[in-house]
Amino acid sequence: MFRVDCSRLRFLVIDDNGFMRRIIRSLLHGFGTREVTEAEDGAAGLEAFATYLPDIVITDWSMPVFDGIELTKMIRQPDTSPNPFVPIIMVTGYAERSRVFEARDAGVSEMLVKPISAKGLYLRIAKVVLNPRPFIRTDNYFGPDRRHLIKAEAYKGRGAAANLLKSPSA
Amino acid sequence: MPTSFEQDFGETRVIHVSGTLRAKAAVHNADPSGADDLSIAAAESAMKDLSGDFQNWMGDEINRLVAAFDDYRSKGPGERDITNLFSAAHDIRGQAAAFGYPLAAEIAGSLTKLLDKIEPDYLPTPLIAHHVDAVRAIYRSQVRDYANPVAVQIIHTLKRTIDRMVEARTNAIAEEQKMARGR
Repeated sequence: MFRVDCSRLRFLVIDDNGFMRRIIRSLLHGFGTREVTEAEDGAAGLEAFATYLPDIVITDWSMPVFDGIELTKMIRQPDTSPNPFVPIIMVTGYAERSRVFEARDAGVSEMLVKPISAKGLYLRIAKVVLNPRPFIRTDNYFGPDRRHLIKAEAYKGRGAAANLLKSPSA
Repeated sequence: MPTSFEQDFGETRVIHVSGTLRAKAAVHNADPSGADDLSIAAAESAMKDLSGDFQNWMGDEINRLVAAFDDYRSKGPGERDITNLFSAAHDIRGQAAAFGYPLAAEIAGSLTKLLDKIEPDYLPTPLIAHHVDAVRAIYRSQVRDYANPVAVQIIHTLKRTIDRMVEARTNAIAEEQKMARGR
């Protein structure tokens, strides 16, 4: 079995509430992380994302300028983002089913509903590091596979077969 | 940026990202469950070190809520903006439990539901005031758990009132739409 050595990871924490940023930073330092960058709104977060190239983004949903959903959509732009594959963990007070679907459809990797706990945050980090989902590109979506139970192995061989069937010589 | 290879399924492409964080940060763990109890305990300890500040932080958040409500109430019906009020209530909803005030989090959650589901013109100011007063009272009286029957009853009553109001407004909107279609 594996665990995550957080000292090897760079985090970007985006939240307009300074108390919440401090809590998340303390938890990350407790996990052993040394590099944590903070931003207090979506615009500053996007700028910090391009500057610091974090390994994992932790963002709030509700923020001024533009919110966590808009931020996620900008990060998931495959043609313009410095790293559209970066794992995004959304920490939010919203627990409603419709909100979870909205976050998932924007390209959020994992959601963590407040109140935040050390175990809850660690498990989300472990999930995006140890069991990352493949990414999906369609005309109207770019982001992690929205089916959480699908593993990468499920796709093995299927792509080749699909391409073969589509080829003119087949 | 990590490298990747893609599989083509027609309108859908599946991208397998290599050079991932797993290669960078996964290390063998003696615990077969995969949990890292030491890291979690260290983080909990770090959060406990912050708990001395929680009392002041909670006070600051409540002052923000009260100021936002005073500002909201001071304006006329046509010029009221709920943005700051919602933001303050939303933050208390998310953080008060971590600060040791789970009941205040519940009441703030009820207030955010009201502000989120009811259009500004239909928002009942007295009901908002009840929520703000209840959060402030819980903080002032240091009610930190569900053993206080009065606080629990207040939460129950406020939540039930909000649920009924949201349901009534939803039904009214549906009725208005039905009538508009029938015209």
